[in-house]
Amino acid sequence: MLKAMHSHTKLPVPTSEWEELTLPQAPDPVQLDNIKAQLDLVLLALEALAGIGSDAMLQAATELNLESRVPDRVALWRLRQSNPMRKSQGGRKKLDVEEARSLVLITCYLAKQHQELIRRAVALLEQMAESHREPHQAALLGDYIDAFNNTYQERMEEDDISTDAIAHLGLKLLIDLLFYSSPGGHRRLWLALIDRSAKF
Amino acid sequence: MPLSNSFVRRYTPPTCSLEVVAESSPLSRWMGRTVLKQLRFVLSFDDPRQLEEDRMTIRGDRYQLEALHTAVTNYVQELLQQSPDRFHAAYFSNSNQESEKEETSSHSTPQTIALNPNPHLGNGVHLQPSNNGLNHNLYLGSLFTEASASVIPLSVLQLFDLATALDEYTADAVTLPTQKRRKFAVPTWAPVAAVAAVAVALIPLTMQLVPKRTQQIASTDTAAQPPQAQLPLSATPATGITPLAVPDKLPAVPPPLSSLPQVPTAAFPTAGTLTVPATKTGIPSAQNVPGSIANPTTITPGTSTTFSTSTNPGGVTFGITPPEKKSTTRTKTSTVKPPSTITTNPFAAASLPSRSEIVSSPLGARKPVTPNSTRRGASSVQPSLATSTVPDTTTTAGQLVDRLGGSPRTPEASNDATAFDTTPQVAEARAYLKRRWKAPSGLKDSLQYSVTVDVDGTVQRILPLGNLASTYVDKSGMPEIGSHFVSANKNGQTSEIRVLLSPDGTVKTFAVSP
Repeated sequence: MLKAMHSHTKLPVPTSEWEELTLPQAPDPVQLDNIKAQLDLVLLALEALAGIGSDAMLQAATELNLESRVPDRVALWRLRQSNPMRKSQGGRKKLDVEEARSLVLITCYLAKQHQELIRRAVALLEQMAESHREPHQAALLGDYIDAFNNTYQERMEEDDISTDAIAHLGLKLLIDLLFYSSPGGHRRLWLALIDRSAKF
Repeated sequence: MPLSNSFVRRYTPPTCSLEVVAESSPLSRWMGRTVLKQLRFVLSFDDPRQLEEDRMTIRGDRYQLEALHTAVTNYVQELLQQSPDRFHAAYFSNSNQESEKEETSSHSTPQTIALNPNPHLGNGVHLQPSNNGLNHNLYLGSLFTEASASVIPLSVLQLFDLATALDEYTADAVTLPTQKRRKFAVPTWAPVAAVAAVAVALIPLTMQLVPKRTQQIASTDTAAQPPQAQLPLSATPATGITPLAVPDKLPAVPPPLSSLPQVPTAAFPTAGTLTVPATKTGIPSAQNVPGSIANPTTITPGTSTTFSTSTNPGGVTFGITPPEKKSTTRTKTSTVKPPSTITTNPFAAASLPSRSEIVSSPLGARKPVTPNSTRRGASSVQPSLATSTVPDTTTTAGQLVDRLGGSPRTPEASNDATAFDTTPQVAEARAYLKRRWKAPSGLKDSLQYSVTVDVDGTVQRILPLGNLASTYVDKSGMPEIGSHFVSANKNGQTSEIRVLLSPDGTVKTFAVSP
């Protein structure tokens, strides 16, 4: 008998979640760049797995009462384009902390919405690992890895990264998405962003 | 009919079940969330994909649960910060190519990428990646001595579900510290309160006391007393108990002492006795349970103020009120998150608070006392308390606190200490916020915040608890993130201070156990 995990209803994000995303001090530019890069990659993983696009992200922003931060498609694009790893035509937008918070909440909100899918993908990944098979041999994972790989290479400027490395990154992010899909996922993501950015 | 202060929660993600059984403290009313004590938990790893015989179960108390939660939370965070390279190595750690990889030094093995145990955990509960692909091992360590196995293998999904269940439990309740394993300053009035509890409990026994004792009481009594309440004022050096203050040093205790049962005299055994001083309002005598209140050497005359007030049955019963007379417990049944199922489970002896609760009553704190004295004193009282008369049980905790405090509180009271000042930072935080908190007009409910304070005393994080707190955070007077708030933590640890801002302008602060 399977126990079912209830999906989270679409409710406006409690202000407390926003308030939980605090910073001990303002990040320096390097840290902010790392935060932007990490956030973009997490969203990229979500896009590759669930096929969500900017519409879903904007919808999430609306439901989270974050329209002021992410009012439209252009604003969203500019936020994501702020990732220094992206191919850029110039005029890169600077992401501030408030915008980073917004993206964190949007990301985790979407991860919660797709938790069943993420869970299924992780379960498949575990099965493939236990049976010593390559992940892409499972259809769901194969599609995910391909989509992640293609989108990464299309958007990111980094040329000297192998497809295997990109795939590993995608699978690592898949497991991360699972933990970000929990009720406290936004805290985990925020802490991971801050701690990771501080290490560089 | 289930007792109103029992707390039973079941958190049932797909691959594990966490059942928590505890008593809900009356402090829940103050905190705005369920405050638990005497907690026990059962954690079952019941992944449907596993065979019945492979499923493991662990049990424990609050400390074990918190240790588990801390270990899992920190480990998950470490995993999230792990680089993709390590993930790749872990994925292929148990592959067919493992024998080849062992010969090469370029790939890191799971052992080399094992995460360090939480340095703050001396009990050894920790997790590490296993040798088997993406799995992890939960090492129970010395803390879980009753577990059938010391290591529990977990898949990623099991780890996630375990973390989710633990987080949900943590979000539901705050547990009160017990005196069992934890060292913290116990207010001076705590043993006094315990003695008073004994006094109330033994009221029926005092009915049989020898009349000649009354003469001794009258000679030492410096205040008028109602005939039915006559008390000796004696010290028993043999027990190491210092004499209690004479009545005239004790503040007046407001009613409802009138509802006290008739207590003509008190009879005290000469050994192992702690007596209750008389007060103007008359206080029932107490017969100490032999050996139950031992070595309260720190009960000095200076503590008499709180002692006398604590003999107020209304005050004595603060935190000890039988559950059938209290309506403070909020059993959050329908509000628990969807994955959890709620069952109620009446507690056999759940009507009485633990000793820790007496300790944490917000009476005026004086000097710290040894925990032993309060512990045994309170615990021995419990069976008797259940039968004692409990007047004025509908009073709120705040009113009881005021009564126990005796003298009316003045804004400029030089001694602003409370029983919750377990650390200097708690008092400093309260002083800081008192200067800045001005309740907005129209605010009817209290605002509650969780403030994480860094080692150096600066504010690391402020978490509003509840929508109202979030709404009024700008007007709460809370300090800025990163600003200096309190003095540095001498233990070199971050700490959490719970802040309660009331509409009447009062500020309460509590240290939250890590």
